[in-house]
This record gives sequence, C-alpha cells and structure tokens, in this order.
Amino acid sequence: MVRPLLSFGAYPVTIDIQSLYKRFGTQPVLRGVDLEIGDGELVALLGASGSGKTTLLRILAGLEYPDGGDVVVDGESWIAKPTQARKVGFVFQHYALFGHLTVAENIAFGLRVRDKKQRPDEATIQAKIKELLDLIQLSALGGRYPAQLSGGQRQRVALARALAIEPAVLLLDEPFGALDAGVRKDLRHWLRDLHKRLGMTTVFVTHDQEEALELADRVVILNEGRIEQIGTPEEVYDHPATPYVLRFLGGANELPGRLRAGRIEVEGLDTTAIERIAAGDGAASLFVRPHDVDALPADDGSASIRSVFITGAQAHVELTLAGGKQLAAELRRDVARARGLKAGQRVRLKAMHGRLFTAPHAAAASAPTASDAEDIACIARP
Amino acid sequence: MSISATLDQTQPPRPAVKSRARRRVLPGFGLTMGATLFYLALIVLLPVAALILKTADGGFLRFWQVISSPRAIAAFEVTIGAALIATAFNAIYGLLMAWVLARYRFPGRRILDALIDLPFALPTAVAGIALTALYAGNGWFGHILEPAGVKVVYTIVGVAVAMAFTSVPFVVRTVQPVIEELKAETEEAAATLGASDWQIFTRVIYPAIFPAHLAGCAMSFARSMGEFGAVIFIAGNLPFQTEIAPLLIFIRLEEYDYPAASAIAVVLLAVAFTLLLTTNAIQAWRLKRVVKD
Repeated sequence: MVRPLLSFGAYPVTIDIQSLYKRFGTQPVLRGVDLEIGDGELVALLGASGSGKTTLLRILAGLEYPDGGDVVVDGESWIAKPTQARKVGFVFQHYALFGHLTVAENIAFGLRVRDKKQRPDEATIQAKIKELLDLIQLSALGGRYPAQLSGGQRQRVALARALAIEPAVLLLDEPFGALDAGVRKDLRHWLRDLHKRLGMTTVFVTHDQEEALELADRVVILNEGRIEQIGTPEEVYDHPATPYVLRFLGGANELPGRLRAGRIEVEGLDTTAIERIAAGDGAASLFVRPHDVDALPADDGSASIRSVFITGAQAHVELTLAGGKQLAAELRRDVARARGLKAGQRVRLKAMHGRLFTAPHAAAASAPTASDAEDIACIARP
Repeated sequence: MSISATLDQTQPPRPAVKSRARRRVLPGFGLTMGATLFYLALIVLLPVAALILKTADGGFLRFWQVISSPRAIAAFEVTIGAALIATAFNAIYGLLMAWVLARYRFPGRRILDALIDLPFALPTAVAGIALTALYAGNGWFGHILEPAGVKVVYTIVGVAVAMAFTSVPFVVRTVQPVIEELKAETEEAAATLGASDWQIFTRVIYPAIFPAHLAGCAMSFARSMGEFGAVIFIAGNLPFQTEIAPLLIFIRLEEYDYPAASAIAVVLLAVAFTLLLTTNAIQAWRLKRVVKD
C-alpha cells in the first residue's frame, strides 16, 4: 500500500535515557533510571501509581524537567530542547482534545500552528485530515465536536492528532485508562496493528500488566522510581527478577519456607516439583502462581478448601494450609468439577511451578501497595 | 370532527392514576418555582412594566422629542462612550487579574482575591469621592497627570475611570472560575503539537474562556451604563459634555417631568437588554457546539 503522506519510520529513532533523577519537593519520584529504547520498539512502562512511570514519560515529552541525568535521542540531548521542538506525539489518558474545535480541526491543529514557511498548504492539510480520519476509522465524523464522541472515539482522535505532526516518537500516557473494558481491548488490538504498520518508536505507560504484556515488545517494570526489571513479556513473566515483579505480574501466593540442601520446604505443600537452587540453608520464600497450584482431594490432605467460585472456564479455589496460611489455586473448571472440589473438603496440594527468593532478598522488596493488590486481584491468567 | 377523532386514537392510553405518573423524584418544585416567579414578577417585571407604561403615557411623539433632544443625545453619547472605554479597559485588565488569581500561587494572593470584590462592597458614592480626590488637580494622581496635559476630573475620561472601578469585578469573577477549570493537559497537548505560548493562549485557552469573558464584559458594560453614585462626583456633570444619562433621569425627576425621565430610562433599558440578549445568544450558540462533558 502506498502511503505518501504518513511517512513514519522514515528515519530511525533511538532513545537513550541516562540515570534520570527527579524529585517533587522532597519526594523523589525517579531515582536513577537508565533505559535504552531501540528504533521502532514498542515499550511499556509498567508500575503502580507513584512508581514514576508517568513522570518518566513526561520528561521524554519535555513536559517535566529532570533534576539529573540526560535523555539522548539519536545522539542529541533533549534536555534543553523545548517540548515544541521535540516532535513527540503525546496521547493523554483523558484525551485532552480541544473542545471548541471539530474533530478535523483537532487533527489539523499541529499543522496549522506551524510558522508560514513550514506550514503545508490547505490542500495538503485537508488530504492529511482525510487520511488520518480513515486511519482511525472515523471518516464520517470529521465535523463533529469532541463532546459528541464516545470515549474510544475521542482517544482515537487524540491519537490521530498526535500522528498528524509525523512525530519522531509516540508517547502514550495510560491511553486506555479511562475506557470501558470492551473498548479498551478493541483499541489495544487496533493500536498494536497500527504500530506494526507505522513502525514508529513508541513508549506507553500503564498500570495494567495484561495490557503491557499483550502490547509491548519490551516491558519496563518501575517501582518507587527505580527500574525493577526490563525484558520481553515472556522474560518478565516467566523469570521475574524480584519478588516485586512477581507480585505485580500475575500475582502469586507468597509462602514462607525453609531451604534445606537447596530444596524448599513449605509446611503442607508438596514442593518436589520445584527446582533446587544453589543456596545455603535458611529461610526463603516460595512464590507460586495460582494456576501452578494443583489440588487433589484426599482425606488425609493437609489443606482444606474454604470456597470455590467459577468465572467462565476457570475455577478459583481458596485454601487454608495446615499452618493457617491462606492460598489461592486456579484450575480448569471441568477439572475441578471432575475432582469434586467443594468447600470444606480436605485436599493435598502440589506446587507445579514456582520461584524461590532467599530471605534477605524477599525482605528487601517492599510490600505491594493497596492498588497493586487490587491489580493483582483483578487479573486471572489462563 | 373526524380528524380530531383520528388524533384521539393515536394518543397513548392515559395512565390509570394520573398523579402517580406525574410524580417527581425531586421535591419542592411547585413551591420553589412559584416563589421564584412571584418574586421575579414583583421585583423585576412590575417596575419594568410600570416604566414602559409611564413612558407610553406621554405618547410616542413626546417620547421621541425627549430622547432626540440634543442634551439627551449628548448624555447618551457620554454614557455609552464612557461605558465602552471602561469595558474595554476591564476586558483586558479583568482578564489579566483573573488569570493571575487563578493560575499562580503567591504570597498575598488571598488578600488580592478579596480586594477584587471591594468595588462591589464599597458604597459607590465613597468610590466617587475617593477617585475625585485622587485625580483632582491637587490629588496624588492629578498633580502628576494634569501638568502632563492629561485631565481626568470633569472629563469623559473621569467618567470612564469611575465606571471601570465599579464594574471590574464582573469580568474577574466570571472569568476566574473558568480559568481555574481549564485542564493543564489541554495546554500540554497543544505544546507537544508545536504551538508556541502565544498560540496556546489564542487558540486553546482564550476560545475556552471566551463565553465567560463575553458575559463578564456585557455585565460590566450594563453596570457602567447605569453607574450613578461613583460617576457624578468625578464627572462635573456639565450638560452636553460630562452629563451622564442616569443623572439626566434624576434631573427630570426633580423637575417632576416623569414621562421624560422614564423615556430616557427606557432607552437605557433597551440598550442593556439588547446587549444581554445578544451575548446570551452568542453563548448559547457556542455552548450548543461545545458541550461540557
């Protein structure tokens, strides 16, 4: 397909973030962030509120200035460069459309404010409006005002407006945060297709791990102003570097236990499937995701079922271990039914998969905040 | 006959219990609406109607004679001219003031914020005397301005100064809350799209506050036109030069010439009413397009 007007990815854009520091008053929000973003990459900044992810994005856009560190784009420092000169496409969570302008005028805004020498002629502007309206599938609504559109439509207009200036980098701040679940999913798929087509360097901020894992080429997990882990969605999910990442991605049962000869022992839980690690004996924590817990009915079982509830194809089983520790398991619904799992029943538990952190490491990681817990509770991975 | 019969058939069946169908969730509609309409009729509509009736007493010819007399025309010119100058000044200064109060945090902001309302609270005669004292030839401002050739007291400039003083809160107080409500994100979005500070103001901020600004200016103008107490002290009230229309109404009343007084009053009323109606129409037209969400 020939796309004469939208010329993204025409020049490579790499971003090199070097030890960024930022504080608001006495509150540090970024405490030494280093990150390299490659050309055409789609990177997610993932973290709880207060992790500094939005501040980092705003520094990239020039809407915030760091106290220390540098942002180098294609070898040029951006710190002294004003927002206007950076050519970033920025999309806000709450759209930030211009209410007094039509959809078409919103899209054309970035072209019309250019000084005369660089401003395209009216025909070019109109052609571009039309093309972008087609791109966001709102061709018929160019004459509407933002107040007459739905949330999903507004966010697409915001994206078209950002794309109109042919930005070097696309930055999205919780772009789906204000939308309904269904719309969010649609728009997510649409954005991923769009990124594939346009291939521009894109950074987006989210607190929704599902969104980050689904969309991004690489996920950057931020916690209290520091990067906890950088990696592909598979890497961060399968090999979380810290307990924080593990808690944040997918959620997990955190079980205190003891290491003996490299093997973890947790009271009331069969841990023979867990790999041994090279570490001295002592206290350790075992993290097991709910879908890695297997529950078999057994009269002499060391755990008892508190409740079972079904969501779609999944059965969520809440258990109490012999030591009184609470634990969640997730089984396929038909499996749970075949085994006759129900409240009050005794079961034998086995951890099929898990990740070990020795005590000092586990203790050093901060407990997730209330909002993290909420995030963890609302996701259920198949 | 047959037509009405057909129409009746198309109407939906009436609910069995009529009062239940009409019941409202929010209580008190009848009482509050009734009190409001009664009050409006008593305090606003009745005097206005009396004014127009009084004018009609003299007949149209008399009305025309009064309002087209050179002295009345001069008074209208002074009043409307000075009100325009005052409103132009308030439009800019009031906007600036509202901007500073809404946007920045600085020591003394609350005091400044309270001071804005002073012209509302101050008896206008006090304001008039104070302004006259300041701008008179031996006053603080006057002894600097008059040697420089700028005469304020007993000129239309003085009239405008008094009008501006008493009506500036209208502009500030209508615009300020709108500026406070503006979202920083919208301006940031404009900046990322390459708009300069000036472009952000003219293309994003001002269009958003324009309806409120217009309303504030219209009220400021209407108030200026009717200002009496503050103006008569500083104006000197020379017929054909600095005599304002409200004063002329007062003079005619003193002469027991009620039809003449009410004729001039009706003209002021018509100007104010037309102005408010026009600005309301412009606002409604804009709001219809830009619905707040």
